[in-house]
Amino acid sequence: MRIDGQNVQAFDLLTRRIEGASSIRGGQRTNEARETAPSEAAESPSANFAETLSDFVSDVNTSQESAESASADFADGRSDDIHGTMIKLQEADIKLRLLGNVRNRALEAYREIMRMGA
Amino acid sequence: MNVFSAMEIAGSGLNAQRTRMNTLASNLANARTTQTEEGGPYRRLDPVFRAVPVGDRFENLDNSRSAYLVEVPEIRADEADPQRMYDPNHPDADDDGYVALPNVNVVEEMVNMVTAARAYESGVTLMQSLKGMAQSALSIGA
Repeated sequence: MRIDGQNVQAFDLLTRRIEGASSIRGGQRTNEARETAPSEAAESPSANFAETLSDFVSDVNTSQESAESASADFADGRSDDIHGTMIKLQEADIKLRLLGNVRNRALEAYREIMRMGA
Repeated sequence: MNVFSAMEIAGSGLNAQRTRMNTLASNLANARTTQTEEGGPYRRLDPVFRAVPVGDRFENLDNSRSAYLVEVPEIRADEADPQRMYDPNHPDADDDGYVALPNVNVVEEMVNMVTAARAYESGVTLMQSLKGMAQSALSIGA
């Protein structure tokens, strides 16, 4: 049960984040659908999770890139927006940390499943 | 509404205070300026702040009233009369020996400068707490 719970937790965290960030699937998933996420997550094929994860990774990558270009602009003197640059850097940092945490949870769940036979 | 729109709002506040700092610098630098392009002494500038709903790209418009950004739509000149000082030797003195000086009160501008700096600081503090919240949220279950 614990494995399932963790899996769902990671999945739910991801989908919520993705829905917030890209709104690609916003129209299709309602709150009721999210309530029934456990069974859905158990049934959904692994490709869906992988897709969601790669969407999230590309979102994190986009913000890393924009933070990088903002700090390059600032260093070159093309921009004088000190706090705008810092905000972008912080945003990228928080998103990267979230991605790291999600990855840890997913890996932990995977290891737990692999231990089942032992 | 997510954690980053709060960042955006705080950022707009920082922008507004920075603009205010620019006008304050202009006012202080021109506190004794008697000549301008429009003629007459320099007039004190004051930024106008306006609240605009957060343009949340990811959410329904129903919730757009939940928070506001601040923007500076214009910088207005203070219409108060210039100060008049008796100084017959001044090159811009009128026939009666009076000089029209800018309607800038240096002491007042210094007070405004301190409030602008403090408001900027409060925006930065808000962002730090926001980041702290996000980080403590990430440590849930760790």
